[in-house]
Amino acid sequence: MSQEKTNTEREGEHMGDVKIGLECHAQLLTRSKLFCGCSAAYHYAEPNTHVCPTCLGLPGALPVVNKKAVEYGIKVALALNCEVQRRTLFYRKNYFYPDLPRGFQISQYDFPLAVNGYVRIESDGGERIIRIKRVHLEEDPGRLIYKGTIDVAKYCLVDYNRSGVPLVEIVTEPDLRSPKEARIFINKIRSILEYLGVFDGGLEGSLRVDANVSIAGGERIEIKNISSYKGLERALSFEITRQRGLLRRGIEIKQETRHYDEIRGVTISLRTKEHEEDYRYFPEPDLVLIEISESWVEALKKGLPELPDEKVRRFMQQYVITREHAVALTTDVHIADFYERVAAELGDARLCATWVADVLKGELNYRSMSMREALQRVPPENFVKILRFMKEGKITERSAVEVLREMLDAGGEPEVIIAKKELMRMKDEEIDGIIREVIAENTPAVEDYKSGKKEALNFLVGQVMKKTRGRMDPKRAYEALKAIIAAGA
Amino acid sequence: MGGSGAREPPDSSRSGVFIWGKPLVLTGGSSLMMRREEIEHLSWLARIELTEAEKEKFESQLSSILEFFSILDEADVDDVEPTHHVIGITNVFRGDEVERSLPQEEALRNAPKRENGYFKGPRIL
Ligand SMILES: [Zn+2]
Repeated sequence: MSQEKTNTEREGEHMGDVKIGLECHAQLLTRSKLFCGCSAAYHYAEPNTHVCPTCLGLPGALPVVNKKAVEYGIKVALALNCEVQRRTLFYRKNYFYPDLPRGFQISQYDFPLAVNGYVRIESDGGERIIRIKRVHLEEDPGRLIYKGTIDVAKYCLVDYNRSGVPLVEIVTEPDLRSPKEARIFINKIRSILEYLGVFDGGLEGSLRVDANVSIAGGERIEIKNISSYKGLERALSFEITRQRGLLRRGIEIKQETRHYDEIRGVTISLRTKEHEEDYRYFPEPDLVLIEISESWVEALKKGLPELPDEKVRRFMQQYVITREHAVALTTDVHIADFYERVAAELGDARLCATWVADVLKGELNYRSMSMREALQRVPPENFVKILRFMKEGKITERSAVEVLREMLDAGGEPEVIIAKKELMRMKDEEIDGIIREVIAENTPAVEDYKSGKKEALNFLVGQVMKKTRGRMDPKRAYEALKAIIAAGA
Repeated sequence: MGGSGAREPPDSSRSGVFIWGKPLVLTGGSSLMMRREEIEHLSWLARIELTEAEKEKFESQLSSILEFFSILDEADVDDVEPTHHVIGITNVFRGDEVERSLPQEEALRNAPKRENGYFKGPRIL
């Protein structure tokens, strides 16, 4: 490379020499666990209260497959355009770790649920196809808690409530070219799984990712333990910068497994001695072969909802909105549904697209609020009311945003907020009075304007806006000022 | 995997004797020898510490076991479907219903160490 790279990889930079593959583990929203009847809703439970002999690995316990988990897995596979296999099998993956009570994890190996799929993503360079190598089912291990960080803790605490929760593992080919693309991909996966209703990305730890990264001239590095959406991009950027640094100094990049430290944002070598063959995979003798008939797959296929890509196409056609808006509106299925209800009620689909995709989404991002949470405070009918007041000229655009913000923060009816904050647009006489006040208080600026300095008028508009606290359109203030000054006030 | 067009397990195309997926390295003469490093690696994987005397003993014992198994290589299995289970039952499922779990006290009953309802385990990096 002739040019030195900067210290950190710039966001979104397309890196031709970078290859990233991901293994995404997503928790499936079944009621019970994958192999036993314990509740899978462990998030707010007391430790070790959703456990039984099977998920604690007690002798003599017999796992039995949850049919719903298999069906969810098939739905995921279909949504990712995979070939669902006719026969699939569970294996034991043997290793010792405190989160695995049996000394092995029940997973899949040679006969996964599905293979050979793909996902479309919108990257900087336009649409890209990311190939999916395989989709399989496995059980989640228990949850380990360390006092302090992992390297200073003296021991770990184990909660097996999570042990046996169904996971779907989605493995990509190394088709991703930058940390940003990896983030876009993972968001797309989240979006698809949520559309299917089999996953809740808002639950802590519901999606965990292992990544493998290689850059031209180096071997493949695996990064484990990435457990947040933001962490993925950060971990990959760190790792690529680290690898480039090694190459620049002429140090060979050897294949290894590294651990991502979320708090410090760095990857640490694990010096693991275990390789794939050391897991001694063998068919789980307690679970029989699963045969998936054509008719079973067809029935599940018929039940698939409209997925993000189809929704984008339909939105563009039906509502005549831009692709950017359609994509922004369909990422989250709750936002898509909200938009459709608002557009149906108000009728002005393009105005609604701007207000949902740009304004509302921006406000939600700012608050880290999900659409589902926002629905409690801003039901579609109230959102429509705000837009209607604005369209009828009763409130300004700026006031409309203010009402929305107030509703997101504290809830309430739009009419009440408008009255309380005195946001009703001003009457002509009122405007007239305020403009005359501003002219009287700012004679030097008025003189400047009269002598040809056009900028002086912008200053006066600012003064009017200040006095009216945004209840007036700047454009209207501008016109009124011009008219009154011209009339020789 | 439709019918016989199954995706082959990664190892099925190879032949010979493998230990944990790696081809067995023949050491000295024609006999199948288990090397000392392999014994040590196995003992690490199983988390069972072996004395030098035990390593020596297992080296020869495991080598002869491998030798017995190598007889199986002579069988012609070209037309035989891989057998994962000897019973012909398929699709044993349960419905997605929540059943009663163990009380916490019962779950922790056999735990050598515990703290605030958690099992207490070693720190592992
Ligand atoms: Zn259980």
